[in-house]
Amino acid sequence: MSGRPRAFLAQSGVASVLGIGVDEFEASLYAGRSGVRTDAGPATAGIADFDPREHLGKKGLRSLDRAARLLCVALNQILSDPVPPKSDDSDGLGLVCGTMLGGLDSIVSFDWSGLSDGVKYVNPGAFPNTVINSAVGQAAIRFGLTGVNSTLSAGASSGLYAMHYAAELIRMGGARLIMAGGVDELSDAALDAYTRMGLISPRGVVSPFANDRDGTAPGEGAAVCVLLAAEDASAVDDAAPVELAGWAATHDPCEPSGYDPQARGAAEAIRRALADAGIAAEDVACVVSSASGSPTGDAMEELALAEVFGGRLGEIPICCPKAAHGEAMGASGAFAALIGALALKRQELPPTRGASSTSLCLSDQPQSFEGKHALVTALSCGGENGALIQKIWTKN
Amino acid sequence: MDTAVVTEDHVREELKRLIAEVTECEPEEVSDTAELEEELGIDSLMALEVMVAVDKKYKIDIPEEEFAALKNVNEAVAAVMRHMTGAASAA
Amino acid sequence: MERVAITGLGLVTSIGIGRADFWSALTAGRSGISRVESFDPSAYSAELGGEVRGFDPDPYIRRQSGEQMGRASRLAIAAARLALDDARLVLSPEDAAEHGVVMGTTSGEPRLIEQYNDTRQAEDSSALTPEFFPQYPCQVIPARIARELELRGPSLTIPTACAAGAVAIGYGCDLLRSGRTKMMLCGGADAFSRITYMGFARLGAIAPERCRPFDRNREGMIPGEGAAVLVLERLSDAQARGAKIYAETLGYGVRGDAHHMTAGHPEGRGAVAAMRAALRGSGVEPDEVDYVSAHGTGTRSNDRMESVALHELLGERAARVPISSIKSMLGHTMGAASAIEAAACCLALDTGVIAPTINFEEPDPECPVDCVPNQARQAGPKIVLNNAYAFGGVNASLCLRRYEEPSA
Repeated sequence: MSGRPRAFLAQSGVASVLGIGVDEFEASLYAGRSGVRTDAGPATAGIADFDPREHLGKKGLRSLDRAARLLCVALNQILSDPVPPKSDDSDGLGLVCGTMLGGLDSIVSFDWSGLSDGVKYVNPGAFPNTVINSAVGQAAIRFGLTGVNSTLSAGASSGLYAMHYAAELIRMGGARLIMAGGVDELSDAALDAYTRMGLISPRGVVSPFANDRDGTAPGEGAAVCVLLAAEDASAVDDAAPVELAGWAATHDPCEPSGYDPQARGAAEAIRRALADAGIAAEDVACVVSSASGSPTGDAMEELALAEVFGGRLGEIPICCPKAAHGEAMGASGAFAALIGALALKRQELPPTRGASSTSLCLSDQPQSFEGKHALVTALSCGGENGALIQKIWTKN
Repeated sequence: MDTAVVTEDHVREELKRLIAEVTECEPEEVSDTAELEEELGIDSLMALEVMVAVDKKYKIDIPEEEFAALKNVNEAVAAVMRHMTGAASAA
Repeated sequence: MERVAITGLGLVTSIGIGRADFWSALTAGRSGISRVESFDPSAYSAELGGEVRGFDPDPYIRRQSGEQMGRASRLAIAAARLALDDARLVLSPEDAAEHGVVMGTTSGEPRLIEQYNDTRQAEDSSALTPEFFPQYPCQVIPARIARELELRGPSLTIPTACAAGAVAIGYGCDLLRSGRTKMMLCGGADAFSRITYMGFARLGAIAPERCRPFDRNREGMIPGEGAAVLVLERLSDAQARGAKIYAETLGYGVRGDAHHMTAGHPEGRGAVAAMRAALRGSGVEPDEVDYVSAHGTGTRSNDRMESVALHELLGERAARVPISSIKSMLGHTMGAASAIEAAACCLALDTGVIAPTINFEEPDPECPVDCVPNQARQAGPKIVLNNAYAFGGVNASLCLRRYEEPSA
């Protein structure tokens, strides 16, 4: 690990039910607001009245589906900054995003139009958005991103895996600056799937780790972070830069909708991330957890945390942002990485709305802590487990 | 009433509406003679999209090579009328 | 950083199942194209496809039920087992967290979308059980492989459309080079899909008779399906166990055109950048490249762009460095394509024989390249670039090197 470039987080952009822009997102999160709604049927955390024109102008949106629009709105915040990131690589700015479903509405609609209009009359202009990587492709065209262009998919861990991919590229010298994030749209088909799978909370409340938790609320959004390579923190233009210090990913062989009841992969991912960061479990000051209100998923996550932290678990502040933004699928892991960085800078975790747990240090108020390291988890049904250790450096 | 004239105007209006849609401008901004590719910025995928919409609306089948060779709205209108008449006589 | 060896090849293709059958068919110039059978193509403007026929993947699926599984996952599991068998690799359970899988795909499991819409049309949702939906999200493909073979390391999908296989192999290689893993199964899988067929047919992109990359009269691509999985290991581990080493993976580059969703940049901007990035990351000079596996879909625009990109990279050598497209035989197997092509590159490095571009009759002055027309050729390449270009303007290039036994 020594001698290799470190990956630091710089600017971010976010489009979320909690707000468009990092400031609004942060303010809503720390004020304990929730985007989970039940006024239109089953509990969802979709972004109501999302109008990309407010952020992107009127032109050039026609060929962008919702996922691409969410991603472009997030990217626009970074790239329209007075001091936008500049790649010193002549190839230009790169982007890697995680997505669970891609532009699912585009795919379903295109096939449906073949059935309803006949294959001769399907709109050829709609075909490009049927590939799962279309959002990144559209964003690259809009913003002229000629660097790395990659998409990956690992369920609800997708956004965090994208951070892993980008940070690995930096560590291995493949990029000095790259953007990484996650995106997913809440399509009718996805909502139908969550509903029919019985994954949505009938009470309309996402209560991670609570004894009476009964499901989640599907959501959506996009978040993108700029990652910079630097040999050490002193080279980063930030008084307290946050580094992606270590990470790991594991798989549990289980049903596509299931979790390992023994949490083997999840615990292993956390342990390996700690080792990758060169720290011990005792060094973790707080946890940004991927618990989503799933009876089985949250049980697995709690078990994994207990395995890693042992008796100390009840003292480490934990937050579960999905109580606020629902299951944002591919965006969740990217939100979590952003939240980890915000928390480290504030030395304060956001509240977990409606938090109730006897064994875990959750709170419906912000929780302050002292420490340099945050653990961010992204544990997905179907067996993917992502863990990330973020470290904040303070300069004297 | 001369249906042929009305129909051609309707076709012109429809084509301009479609072109305006794919190029994200107003129909009034689409002239009869502006070059589809060079001046209006219609690439091959956008042209195909317009062609399919026109085929669907008028129940015709313009070959892609023929549509791709059309230079402006006037030529496009003529092509549609040609195929419509052809389709009508075939019916 | 660790060097990475490819020690096993698993192929499920329209011209052969398994490395040996695939290679013998490929070098014989056999075509896997015929009239589509998995649905009735008569409503489309085209009718040809490269379907995998007469192959039952179910015997390869031993640790889970194949019933609810989509076709891409099944082909992928079969290719994974074939690859591990080919590698003669027995995985030790203690290392399971260091064994991972990265798979590329374009469509994931599209039949589930088709079934979903069929039920909507029939207004009968009885098939939409809770077990139906989880088969769709595309990470199910590597997850199924991981479950089948008890791999507990990183498992993920790279859904970068028609460049997916190459990127998956590249990322898997990085996970080994970094020391994070010891063995990675990397590849790609795509199943034949009416959505894909309908899209390409509506674009007018499907060739009416043959796929003829680089030919003056080429008329388009032909959709296909298939799966390929490559076993990647640390070179030191492969040597220690006396494994057969087909080739070394040196590195990869992936760059965006940022030009158009379906048409490549006319000057091959992203294609050139990807090749340069791959070579830089591999410590290789363009002058050392002696074979290129083309994306070579057979469309007028792709092959022209590819030739332009090659000339930009190689200068006057470009007319002499062989560049063949096996899509001429298999059609375009989407996310599997660049993985199948990577396997063919490994075999070219290992045997010295490069596969041909078949259906070639007349050179195109706009594509002044040596496309290895019609006959496989003994060429003994040492450094190979495997190129792939995708919707979204993704350009990928994977660099492979002939493995030479270290001298005593």
